[in-house]
Amino acid sequence: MSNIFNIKRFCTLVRKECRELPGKCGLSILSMVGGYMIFIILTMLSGVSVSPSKRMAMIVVWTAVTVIFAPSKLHGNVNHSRKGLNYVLLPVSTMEKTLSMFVLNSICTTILILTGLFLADTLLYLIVPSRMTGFLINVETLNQLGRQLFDLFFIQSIFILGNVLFKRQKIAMTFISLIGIFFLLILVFIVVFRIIGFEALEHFTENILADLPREIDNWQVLSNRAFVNTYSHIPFVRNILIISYSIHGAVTAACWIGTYRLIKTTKY
Amino acid sequence: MMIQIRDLSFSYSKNKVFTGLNMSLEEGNVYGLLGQNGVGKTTLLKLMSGLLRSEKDTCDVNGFHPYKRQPAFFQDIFFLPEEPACPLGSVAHFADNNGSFYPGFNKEQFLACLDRFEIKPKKRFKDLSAGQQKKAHISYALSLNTRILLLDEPSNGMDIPSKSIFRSIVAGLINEERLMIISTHQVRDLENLIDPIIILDQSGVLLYASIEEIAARVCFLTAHDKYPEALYAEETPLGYSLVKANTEGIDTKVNLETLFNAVLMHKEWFRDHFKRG
Repeated sequence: MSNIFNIKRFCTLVRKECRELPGKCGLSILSMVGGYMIFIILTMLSGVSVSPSKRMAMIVVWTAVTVIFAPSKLHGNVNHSRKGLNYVLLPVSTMEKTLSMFVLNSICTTILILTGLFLADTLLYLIVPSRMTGFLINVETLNQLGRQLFDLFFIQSIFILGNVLFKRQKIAMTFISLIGIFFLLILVFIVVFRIIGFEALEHFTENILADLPREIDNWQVLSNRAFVNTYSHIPFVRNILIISYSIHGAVTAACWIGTYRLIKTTKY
Repeated sequence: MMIQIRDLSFSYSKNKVFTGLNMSLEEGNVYGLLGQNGVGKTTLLKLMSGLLRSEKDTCDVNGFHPYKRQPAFFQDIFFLPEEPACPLGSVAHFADNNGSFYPGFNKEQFLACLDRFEIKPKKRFKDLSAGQQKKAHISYALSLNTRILLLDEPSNGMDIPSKSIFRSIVAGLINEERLMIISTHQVRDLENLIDPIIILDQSGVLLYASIEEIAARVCFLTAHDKYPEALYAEETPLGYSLVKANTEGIDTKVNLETLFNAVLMHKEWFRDHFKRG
């Protein structure tokens, strides 16, 4: 049997972790679904009608919260000096453990929470259709969800790394680290801009903005996905997109490689 | 040799635990690992099971370098810590879920062990007392049938009948292909079970000998007075419990507790008289 990857062993591990999922994470998922229903009911009671796109936005937020918390619920003990022993001593390779972590956190949990939220929304729609302007699932909302799912996987990979990196307060520590990295990057940019010179930077930006269509609010370029999709043929926008996707891909890969290394080398 | 430790050094940051430790352990034995607090008994078990990092070639277990953490290595070794974590769900569910990864896991044997310890398999772990949880974990560890079993203070927290059940189960399970290492302070609980005996101290192995070797070299006596030539004398209600060099070839039963104290008092004497080739 391979010491790196064996499909039979991997499936056994996934099955074992799936069986443990309801006990570890089931209540949290149910609470999130209940919370969503209460939120929608309260919104409707206040007289506001909720459109499918607004509800889908809410579902994305709810899913984001769940996938951020899932790693610490499902695999929060993996680096615990006492509670993590059963996990590390299991006769399964590190590759299989990492892949199983991905399947459980990114696929199973996401499917479970989305199914729960869709069912809850459908139930509310069937009870009070007058307050809900349309059924949740349509082409537009599905596109909206599809786009956000990739961002969710990206964010979750960071929290999965944080889960195996930090011993305590895993989510809070990951948030604090992200804020720290953000400020560090700003500092690096400021230093780089100072070295290049702010005038040269201004000149460079003006040249690029001059190439963009005039009717566009230029500073929304990076935050508006619809805009990016429409104007991706513009070289500058395309380059930004390529850089952005590359960074997303590189960070996600780095997080998973880091998770693999930590599972392999953590001392107990 | 099933476990070969060669020139093993280990430290927790600046706190040195082992410097150049050497040891060979063979299958077919239940080793008793003894030592004062902090000499590194648990650390040694963790190094053997790959939970801590050892340099390559310093620790060879069943032909593997433990820290590589390969599935083939883990299939044949199990380490039960002193205080195992309390898993979610029932005892049977835990064993079913985890035992399937071990080729030697025998569910009937697990249920039989639980039955002897009077633990109901359907009970949830969190509903069991600490001692009962320990017994459930021991039943699981023993029924995995791994070639190497490392038990850290297994009898801690067990009631008196359970200790004898534990001894009887372990005695029935040991065979020529298996090796067990039991780290313990409760030597009386495991007398007649552990053989050979390994006593560690800060400088390394103080004593590594079989019960037969120990009995041949030292004798354990009870006397009204202290013998001047005794290596160690301990006052008891009946007089003195003595350990002395067995120069007259007396056949006595090894008392592990007095032996341990004698070894700590006369480290050099025991090192000289129990040198291994």
